[in-house]
Amino acid sequence: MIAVIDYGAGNVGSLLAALAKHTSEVIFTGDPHALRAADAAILPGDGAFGATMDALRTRELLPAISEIITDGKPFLGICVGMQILFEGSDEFGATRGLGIFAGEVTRFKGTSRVPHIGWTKLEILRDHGFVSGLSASEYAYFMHSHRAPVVRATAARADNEGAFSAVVAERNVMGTQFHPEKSQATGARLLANFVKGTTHGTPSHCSA
Amino acid sequence: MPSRRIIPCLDLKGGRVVKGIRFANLRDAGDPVELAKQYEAQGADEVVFLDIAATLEPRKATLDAVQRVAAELTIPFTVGGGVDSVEDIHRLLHAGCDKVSLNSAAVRNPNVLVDAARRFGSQCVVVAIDARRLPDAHFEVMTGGATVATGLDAVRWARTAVDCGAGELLITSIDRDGTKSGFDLPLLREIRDAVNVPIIASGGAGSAEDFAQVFVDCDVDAALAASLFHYGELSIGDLKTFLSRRGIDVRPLGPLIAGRV
Repeated sequence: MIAVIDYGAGNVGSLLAALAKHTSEVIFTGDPHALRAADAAILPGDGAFGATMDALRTRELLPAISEIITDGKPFLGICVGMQILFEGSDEFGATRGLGIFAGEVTRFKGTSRVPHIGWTKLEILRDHGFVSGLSASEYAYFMHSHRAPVVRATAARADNEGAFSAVVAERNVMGTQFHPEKSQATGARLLANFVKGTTHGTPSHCSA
Repeated sequence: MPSRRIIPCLDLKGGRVVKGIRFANLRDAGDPVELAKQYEAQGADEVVFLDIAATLEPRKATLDAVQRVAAELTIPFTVGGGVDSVEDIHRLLHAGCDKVSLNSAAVRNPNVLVDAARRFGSQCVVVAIDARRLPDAHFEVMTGGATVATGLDAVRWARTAVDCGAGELLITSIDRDGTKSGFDLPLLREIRDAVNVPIIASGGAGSAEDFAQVFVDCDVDAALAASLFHYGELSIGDLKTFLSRRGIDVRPLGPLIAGRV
């Protein structure tokens, strides 16, 4: 069973509909007990970094999320749900994240157009079950003003006057800066890979 | 840099698409889900729905349509028309659209943009500007479906809207709209030079060449058209092939679009 985490974020109808194409084993829940009982979890993202951390804290979901991750269960963070896997963010003042991955999330700077909106090409950097089957010419639809750095866990990067993490995947922890449910076949492939990893063991053929 | 986007615009009334769309194989030419899916299959990069029934708040029928489209479409879509308040934006985003476009309400009260950007993030707040050329070569903002002259300078308003929190601008030339005589390049160039958010060009598209020109000359991020696509005069697939041959970066079609998963 995959738990899509309900913490009062925006609409998850598109995500649930996209997942339903790959599995019927999905619950949408904000209950920490139900979350702990799940085999995998997805943290949908919407809104600001700090507000997301606050909402997860208020609803007492942070311990359950940490447990899922340390237990080795597949975890997918989407958009700001991916960003909070990093150490912190400068959005609306400094906020701490979960620190699963090193590095700070920062606002796009310099000459880049902000927000970064549109279909940008992905450059696959590492081998992981989550990105398996993606070709050398995949585009995803981004809409964000803050970016996570390229780190060891970065499975695909994208460029907007400077590279950033588009997809992270290390062992059981995965994330996408873009919404896979809004990125047509590319996003569907990632969701299918994630679902596959929850039923056939962690997609963990990593290489550093 | 993102690739340049091609966006078809569909007019909604009472949750139905109006203004006849002439695709051959439609079961229901008024169904927003079916039409959006058709455009998605053609390679559209996103879809804009404009609710043309002037209301003070999004009607239930519109919200129902948004919800149905969100469950089926795997590319983003924007909804605009009659959006008046942060609550309206919340309802539309909650129904499942990715961005909301404001026009008259933002001119009346730019604070709506400040509040919306703070609550939902600039990336989903689009400001639509309808502009007409004045005899002195300036451009004036019109509201109320291009019926009310505001006296506002379009370039200054674009800058203000972005300062208030708009994350994207949808610029429509009233003079060019429906003429198929090409985009209003001077208008778009002036606004491009004034702001650093993505710009969607609208009004005047008549040929594939017009799209190439607006991307090359005005460095806009996206271009929007309605009847040109609806009546099959130009397919999005053919347009993208044309642009790609001209060296303009568009999201490729072909195996990427095919049902690979």
